[in-house]
Amino acid sequence: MIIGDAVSEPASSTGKPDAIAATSLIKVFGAGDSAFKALDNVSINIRQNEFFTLLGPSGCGKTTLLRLIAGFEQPTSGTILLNGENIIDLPPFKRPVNTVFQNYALFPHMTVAQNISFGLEMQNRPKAETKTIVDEMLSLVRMESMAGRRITEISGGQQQRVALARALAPKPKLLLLDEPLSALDLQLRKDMQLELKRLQLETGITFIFVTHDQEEALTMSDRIAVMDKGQILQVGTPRDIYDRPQHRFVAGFIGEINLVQAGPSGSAGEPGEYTIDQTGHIRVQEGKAAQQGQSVTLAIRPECISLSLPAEGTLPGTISTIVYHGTDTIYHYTLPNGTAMRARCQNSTMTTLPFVAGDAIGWSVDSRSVSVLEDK
Amino acid sequence: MSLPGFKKPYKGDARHWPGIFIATACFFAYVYMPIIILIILSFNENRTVTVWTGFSLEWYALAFENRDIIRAATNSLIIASISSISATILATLAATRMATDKFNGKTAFNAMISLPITVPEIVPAVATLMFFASVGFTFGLGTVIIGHTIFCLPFAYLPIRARLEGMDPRMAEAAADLYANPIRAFYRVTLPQILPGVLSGLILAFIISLDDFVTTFFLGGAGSTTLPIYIFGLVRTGVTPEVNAISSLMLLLSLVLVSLSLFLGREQSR
Repeated sequence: MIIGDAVSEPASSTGKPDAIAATSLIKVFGAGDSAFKALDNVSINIRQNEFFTLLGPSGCGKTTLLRLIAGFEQPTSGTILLNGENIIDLPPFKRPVNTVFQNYALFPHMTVAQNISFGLEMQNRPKAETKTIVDEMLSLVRMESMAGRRITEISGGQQQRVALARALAPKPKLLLLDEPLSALDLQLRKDMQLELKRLQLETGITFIFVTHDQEEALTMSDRIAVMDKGQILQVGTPRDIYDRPQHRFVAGFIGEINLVQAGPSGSAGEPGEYTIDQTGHIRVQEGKAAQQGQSVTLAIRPECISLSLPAEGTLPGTISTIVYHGTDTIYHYTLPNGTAMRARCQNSTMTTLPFVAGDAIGWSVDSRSVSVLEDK
Repeated sequence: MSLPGFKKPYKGDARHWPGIFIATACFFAYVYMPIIILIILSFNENRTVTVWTGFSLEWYALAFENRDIIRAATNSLIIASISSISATILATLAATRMATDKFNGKTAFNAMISLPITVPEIVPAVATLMFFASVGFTFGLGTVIIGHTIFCLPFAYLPIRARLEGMDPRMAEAAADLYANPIRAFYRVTLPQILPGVLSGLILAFIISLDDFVTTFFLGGAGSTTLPIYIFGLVRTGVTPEVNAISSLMLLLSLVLVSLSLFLGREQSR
């Protein structure tokens, strides 16, 4: 099942406004010399029923953006529309938005069922309705047998489920998840990734998911926004982000990648053709034409490179190290201009490459697998 | 070099210092012997305090029949109850604001709330006396209760503050996120979690008020005699076994309350 590859419908086709439309958000913490710009002019549109992920290293501003949407922090400037309505002046308890906190923040003096019913009680829903929804939520997260347990008596993974049920019970328009899987061990995390995706599809609620884990982002999201230093660098489907990174940071943050400096081809060169110094020409599909004399950075995934014996139509390189990884082998090689490269080749008995360190090789790459990066 | 059969003593360990046992025994005897003797003598049959002749509960019976003692005890309980509850409410309000918000001068405020613990009690007692006199208050139960509320406040504040600081700040956010307005969030989420601290503060304030002499002496008037003031009056005319009996009862009440407070304190650290 390729969850991350799902193509989301454009908002216009549903006729509804975006779930979240944030414009020019700036958030500055502190004042004077100690002032810190957590968000630097962030604008973002999140569509209805989307599993949207904010991905970035710690301190990139992703959690701050989430807290602005929840209402725990006020932006220094900018606006946030929820389903077309301005929510900037609403306190958190008046926003139809619920949050799953990183450490869950479950109420320790209440049982599992009391935690789940809390939001409904605060909305003054009728008792019978509250009871029905709590039962529904307990079965949704498969915790029916735990309803009467205290929070201190259940495991971390179960607390995670209760936190989800508690946040989903009031049927919010938007669910915010702040690194909810970071406290779980690997196997549980994998299970919960699927579980979260299932819950999102079943409830049809828009999810905004914050994480620093690129794999988590790629497997679960409809779209990903990659953030760094308080800015959104690129927004796109997992496949867009992985195959066509636009920034050096995005390319380096997600997966392994080779970065190669290249210049424009000679005046006769066609648009989309670049020259790697002392090495040769490389073609890029849909590439922006490099301006006269300007050099660019090309990004190539190690698994997209084909190695062979030196031949017509390949580029030259010299093997430096070969590292065996079980399912695949990484070939480290250098270009004539000194650039270090990596190629990842799947190991199958039929196609063992006969190279040893020091061998001259030829390498090639499909023009569709080369990205041209903005230097940022 | 070590002799066979002897462990080489480790110099840094206080247990092996010479004379440590005797010194410790002397210290505890010095602190607790007078109290133990007082309790034993409260059961003495003989009217002369220092001569033991036999066991008797006569002085306890006498104390309970003495209307002045009952009135003083009632005053003590009224003053301690009202002032400890008032102090606890004020302390809870102060601690909640101090724990959740950031504002200028927060550290200074924190120090000012705790300051009365370190200031010699006589200073605020005299100052309050002069203030009440200049305003024209009638001295009595009311003035004593106000005075006690003031000096009990920091004792109630500290355990509540400690409990609030141990609470996850996300807890209040989670309540707000789930549609609880600040008042409902406080009653449903914050208060149940800091309750051990609040009760612990309440009991501490109650004991402090019950034991107080200085402030009560300065701010009291007709009809506001408390047990410590009454005992002080009795002792001036000569110590009777009756005083021993009342003191023992007060000690018992304090011990029960302190144990309760410690028990609650242990609950909260779990």
